[in-house]
Amino acid sequence: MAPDSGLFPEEPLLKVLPLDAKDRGTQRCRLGPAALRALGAHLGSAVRISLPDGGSCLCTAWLRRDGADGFVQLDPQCASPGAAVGASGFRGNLRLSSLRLVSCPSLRHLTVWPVLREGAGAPGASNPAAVLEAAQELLRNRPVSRGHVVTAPPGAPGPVAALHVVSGAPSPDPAGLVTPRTRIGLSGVPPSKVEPRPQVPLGGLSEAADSLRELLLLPLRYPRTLAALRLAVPRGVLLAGPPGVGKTQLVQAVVREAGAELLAVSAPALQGARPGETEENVRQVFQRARELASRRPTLLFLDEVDALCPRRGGPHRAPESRVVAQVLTLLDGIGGDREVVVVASTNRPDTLDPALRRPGRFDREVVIGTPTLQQREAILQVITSKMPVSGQVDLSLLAEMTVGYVGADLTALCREAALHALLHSKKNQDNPTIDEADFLEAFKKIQPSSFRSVIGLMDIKPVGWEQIGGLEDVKLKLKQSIEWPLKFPREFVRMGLTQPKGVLLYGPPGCAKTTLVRALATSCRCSFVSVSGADLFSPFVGDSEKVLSQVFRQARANTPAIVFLDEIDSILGSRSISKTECNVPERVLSVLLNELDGVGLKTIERRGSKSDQRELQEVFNRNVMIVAATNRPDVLDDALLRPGRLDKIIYIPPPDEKGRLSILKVYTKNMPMGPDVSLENLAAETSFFSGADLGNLCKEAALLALQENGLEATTVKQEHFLKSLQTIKPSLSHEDLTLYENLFQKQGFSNLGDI
Amino acid sequence: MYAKECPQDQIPTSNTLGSATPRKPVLSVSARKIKDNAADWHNLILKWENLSDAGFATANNIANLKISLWSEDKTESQSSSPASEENAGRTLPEHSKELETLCEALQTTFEALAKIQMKMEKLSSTTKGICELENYHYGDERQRPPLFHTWPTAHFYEVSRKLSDMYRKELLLKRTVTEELAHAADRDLALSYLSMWLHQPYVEADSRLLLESMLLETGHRAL
Amino acid sequence: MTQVQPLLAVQEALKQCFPVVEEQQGLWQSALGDCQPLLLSLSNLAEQLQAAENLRFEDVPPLRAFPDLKERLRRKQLLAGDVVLDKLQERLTALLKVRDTVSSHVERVLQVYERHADTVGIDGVLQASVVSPSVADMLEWLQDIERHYRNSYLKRKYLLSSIQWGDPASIQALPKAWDRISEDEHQDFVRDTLLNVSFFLAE
Repeated sequence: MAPDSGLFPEEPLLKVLPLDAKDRGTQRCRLGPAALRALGAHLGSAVRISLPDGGSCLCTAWLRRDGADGFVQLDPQCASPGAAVGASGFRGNLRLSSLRLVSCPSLRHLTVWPVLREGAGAPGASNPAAVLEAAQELLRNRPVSRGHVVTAPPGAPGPVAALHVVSGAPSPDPAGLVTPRTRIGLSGVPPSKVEPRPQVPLGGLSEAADSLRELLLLPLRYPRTLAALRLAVPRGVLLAGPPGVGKTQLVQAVVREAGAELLAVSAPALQGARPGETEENVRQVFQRARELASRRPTLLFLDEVDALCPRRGGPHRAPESRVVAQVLTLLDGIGGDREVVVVASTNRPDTLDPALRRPGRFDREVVIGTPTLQQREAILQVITSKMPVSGQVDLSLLAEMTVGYVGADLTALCREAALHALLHSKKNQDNPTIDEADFLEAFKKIQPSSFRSVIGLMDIKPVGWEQIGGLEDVKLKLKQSIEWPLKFPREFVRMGLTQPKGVLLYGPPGCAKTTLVRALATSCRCSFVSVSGADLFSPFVGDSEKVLSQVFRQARANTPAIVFLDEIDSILGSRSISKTECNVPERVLSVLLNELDGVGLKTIERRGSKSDQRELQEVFNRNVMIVAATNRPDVLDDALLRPGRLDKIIYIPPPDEKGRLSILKVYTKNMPMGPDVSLENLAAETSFFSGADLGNLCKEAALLALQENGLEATTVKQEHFLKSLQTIKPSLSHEDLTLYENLFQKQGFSNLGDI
Repeated sequence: MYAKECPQDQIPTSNTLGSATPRKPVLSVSARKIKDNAADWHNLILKWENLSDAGFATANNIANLKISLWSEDKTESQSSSPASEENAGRTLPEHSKELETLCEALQTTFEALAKIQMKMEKLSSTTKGICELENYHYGDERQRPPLFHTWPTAHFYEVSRKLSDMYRKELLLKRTVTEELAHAADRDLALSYLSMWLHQPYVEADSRLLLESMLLETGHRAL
Repeated sequence: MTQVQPLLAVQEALKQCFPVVEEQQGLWQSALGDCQPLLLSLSNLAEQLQAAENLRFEDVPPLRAFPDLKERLRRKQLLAGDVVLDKLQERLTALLKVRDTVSSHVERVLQVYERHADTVGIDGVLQASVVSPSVADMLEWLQDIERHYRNSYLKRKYLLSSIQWGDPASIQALPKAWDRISEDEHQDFVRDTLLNVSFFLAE
């Protein structure tokens, strides 16, 4: 029967169905009889199929079992390189016109380039005769096409994983049949390289990337120079940094760029239950890396290496010690090999065995810290470069807001924003854009991951400055000494000012010290860590100090940050006052003093580049501000109060009359007031009332109103206030106040005078 | 087992030899004697192999018994219920009796092997005697014609001595195995004893070559 | 009606091919059957090798009289192993012969079809009756059978060529690995196919 294209007035679509299991590796393409007729094919004819992704594959046409039309199943065993992988999972429709019958003459000669299986194990794997035989078996009776790749079915034995069809006679273009009489030759050179793999841009990691790149590429580009210099190229890099900053991604990007092979292994996955199993696994990994390296430069990436190589020498650590010793041996062994670079990553470099960190093993250590402002901006630019972000979004503002966010967090943030845009903007579903509001919404949901485990991290209820009545000059002082240095460091630098380290707020209880700090945190928009005595004290010796220093370490990782030590007197006490030799508060105090002006930073906490002057906005260590509050400043240790530590000491006085009035106004803002209420009078009558007392007064009055008039009460009248005034006594007294006011005066702190 | 694959049957011994090769009646006495010896070698080795096979079967049973005993021990020590102990009390003498019979059988086999080995020694010394006789007849003169095709007479003795040396050492090893197998303390040892019995490490691979070339030289095997 | 004659020719070729497959399947099975005991004895040998390897001969007093025993024993064991391997190689050659015979016959049938394909047409190859499966099916089966022999032979060959005396554990696992090859491939596939065409052949 002649092919009858008239059967198809318009081009029919063929639905692509998954392949039958038994057809796998047959290179068959099953079609319905109508399609076969339309193509003019008979059973076993070679058919070239153009895939929607631009690739193509070559199949033999066969009939579908059920004879149904409109479907196609294909085994892409011989396909163009890119499509070879994708097509097996490919679903959708194919046009009949994308199938083409091709003539398939028998080949006299065929040249292929073999891709060998990794670590085939068999000693004959690299033996050309074995490879040739495997190639012959794989190609037998197959139609092939030049430029295509014939992949071996996954279960098939033998050293060959795939064959690139290079050339043949007659040229297998579009197709040629391999017969038992076809002579097959192996080509030594791969066919022209496939287009370079797409770059994954890295935001803000350029310095670390340079360092890695150099290691990988130097021996590649200048082998002779290095040999002439008799230089042993460093072969190991340790990447240290908190989780999520992009250690893994950095390695991947660099590897891709260098065209090297990446063998990524998660160290915990190597742990075995049986004794010796872990060592065995480690050996295998290194062996595999060596096999890969025989073909091209290879980077062995050990993620979370601290799990594998903890510090030796502790009790019950014999198994770990063996593993560490094994890793050391292998690392030393790798020096002789060519082109294996070992990169290990950890977020706890201190727990690694020191022997691992000496030159010759991990020669170079690259510290990737929490990204700085500019790094964050770079990261955000990278992430949002492919997103439809509206023009109004200010990335630098966003970067400023995302203190403490690492790359992963920023990605999550952008994803959340995109999701939000998708779900909540009904207006244009087809073409959604992400605007600022979406980011702000996402900002509420995504917490910086490095900050999740911080002790004393507070979710502060935002408090505006205006919500605190009175204390205007205190507010101003606070802003000057805390908010300004954090927000405008550049100006401080210009004026040659060193930034204050810390501020002590003292004053009688109930005078809004804590609330002031809250307002401060709100307006600074920085990390806010609050530590109380309960967080610190622990029954274990040394634990309190450790917790405190951890608080500071984490705060430094998330600058700018405010560390708030409420009731600092309960935490610290004073060295001079305490009787016992060495008690907990005293040790905590010494930790705090050290944190305030210690010599420097631990190396692993380094962020950004050391030399970059433009990073002045976020000079590390400077931007952790300590705010302490106490109502018993007299018991504090003198050392703590000297300049350079808690150098700004601010007295928060009880509210004066004007202050009381504004406090009352704040408290009664949401109360229905009777017309007779005179807040001015009340303010005048409530001397020695603290802010908290005033709040209590208002509450009491409102309750009285409810009590008297039942639940129908509508207003609070002056009489209620007066009545409650009789019951509520001020918590402050004159003696107290004079004590506070004189405390620092006699020591010559002049700044108290103007309060 | 090599002997099993050896296709030919027993080669006729001295009595029938004369009629078997009527075309060569003019063999000297020494030559005849050596030819007989060669046939004897062949037959003795064949017998040895058969006995060794039989011994291996016995040894195999002993080893299996021991291995099963160990595994029983293991399971019993895991489940030390009184019932199983009773069981053990009943089965153990049974087993040891079985073991004893097997060991006796192995001992008998070994003794038969020892006898064969003695005969081999005797063959070797006879050959030596013939050599000496020949030497006596012809003196040191090198021109003496070979008895058969190419081999000088002394070569027969060399081959005989090599063979009997091999089997002597092998017998020593077999004695050790016979004595020690039932007392082997672990599986690896028992298995190795078995393997030693089976593979006869002291009977070297060229013993077959030596024997066959001797048979060829003496005319038992056609070229 | 022009297509009847060529169709008959294809069917005739099929009729000639299937009996060959049947005969070769018998040879194949018997060769496979021969391999099993050989593999078992290889695995036994490996066990012995390993046992001797584990044993410290100098620690066993009765064996001290034989200083070179370990080396000699190993040599003899390996020698025995080589004998078995040689026999396995023979069986493998028999399998190869089956494969090649089937391949050449199947190829011939496909050639016959190729020659007549245009005249037979799609309808022709789809024709099936109670007694005779369609030509399309039968051609497919033949191709599958041929591939089955090829894959199976290849797998077995690679398995045997992977034998290394340095790795007794893998040799001990050989019989299992061998069986697994048989299990993995659809075992009764050839037999089922032959049953499917039995009426067609008897026709």
